[in-house]
Amino acid sequence: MNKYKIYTFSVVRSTTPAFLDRLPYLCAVLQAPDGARFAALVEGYRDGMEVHVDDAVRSVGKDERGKERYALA
Amino acid sequence: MRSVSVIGIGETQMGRFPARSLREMVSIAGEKAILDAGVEKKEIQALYIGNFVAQQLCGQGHMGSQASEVLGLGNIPTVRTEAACASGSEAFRMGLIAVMSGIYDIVLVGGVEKMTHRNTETVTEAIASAMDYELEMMEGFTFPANFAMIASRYFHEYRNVKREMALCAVNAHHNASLNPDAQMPKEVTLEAVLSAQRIADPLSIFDCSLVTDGAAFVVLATTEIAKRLGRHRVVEVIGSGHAGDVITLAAKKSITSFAAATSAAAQAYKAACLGPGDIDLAEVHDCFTITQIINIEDLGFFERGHGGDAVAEGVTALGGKKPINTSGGLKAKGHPIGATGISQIYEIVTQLRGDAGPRQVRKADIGLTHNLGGTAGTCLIHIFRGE
Repeated sequence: MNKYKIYTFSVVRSTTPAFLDRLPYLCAVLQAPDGARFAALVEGYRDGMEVHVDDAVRSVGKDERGKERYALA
Repeated sequence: MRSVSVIGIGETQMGRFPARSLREMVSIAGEKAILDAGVEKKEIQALYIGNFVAQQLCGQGHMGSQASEVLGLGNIPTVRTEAACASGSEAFRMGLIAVMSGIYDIVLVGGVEKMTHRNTETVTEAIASAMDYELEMMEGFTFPANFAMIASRYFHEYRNVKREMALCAVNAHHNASLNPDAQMPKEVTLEAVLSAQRIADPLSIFDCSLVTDGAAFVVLATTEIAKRLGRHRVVEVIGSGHAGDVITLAAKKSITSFAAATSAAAQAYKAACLGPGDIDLAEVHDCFTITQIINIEDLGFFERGHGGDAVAEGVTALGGKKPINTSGGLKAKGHPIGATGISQIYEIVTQLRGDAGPRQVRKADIGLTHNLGGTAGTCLIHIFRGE
């Protein structure tokens, strides 16, 4: 399994209409093993969880748009 | 290249004015600037206007033509600029280049935004159009989220500056309490900022700039004309820098320093033959409190990782050695996006003329404006000298 890690993150508590039903959710810039960074909404966050820079994140398959999804490891 | 000066300034009260039209705001600020300049409308040869989201929030495009009609400027050419929150400064630079190069002798430059008639979620979505739609917005990113992630990384690379960020807000509200044009002219306490409603961790609502209706205009002319008019202390534009960077947060080499800002600053300092130590005061783009701390480092005022120390020591406060955002900034004067860059210039010119009343900085001879667009995908910096 690819080992992605959190480069930076925020727990979002106010958002656009399309994401209101997801609040609160975890936005992050993830870093791949080769150093490439990309934006992702990370699944599996529940309010109050401790999240840190460099925490591991795992790939959990693709969504209906064919886009890779990620979750806290 | 010819020397160029700001000969007239005008702005609206910043605030929540949902019933106020774009036309009304352009009229108020534009007429004030022209009157302040003391020139005839027929002497204005071109109009440049910054606007970001009127098409999305107001259904209004073709802003240059509209502003020209409102102000009765006849058949002069008009240009509307859009570079997210840097739209106003981009209009300013276009007007500056036109006068510097000799194409025109006198131009009007402005910015306007109308936002508060729409609900918060709609405005958040409209502002988010300044980021990458596919890569960021469809992942639930918002601007508070992007700058919250910048803060989280800054905390990781340097130290937690949540308290110093809150002090930026305290300073901003104090300065705004002395500015009759400010949207939130009231003091806030450190405790109130630290305990406020969370928007995107670690940012609370007091770490975020305001949603604002407002307009600001300036008249630019050759310095020769400015001296001939002799109405005000001549405020010459002695440095201009404009740089860009990738649009997405993830693609930036560093997110705790903005490459567009350091590049634009280097250009502006070189043009002005000055360095960071020569700047008496600055209006910087505090879209969020963490941004102010990064900006004052990017401008070379303070060492990397030590911007927060300077804030905590009072260096950036109104009575400090390097006053930052004497107007109240985007945080408390307001952030009428397309007008923000011009509103920053309005404050610097007011200070350099010695007209800032109770918020007047004692030594105000060299002032700087720093205006970011999006997630620092654009930056414009201007340096002004009172003669």
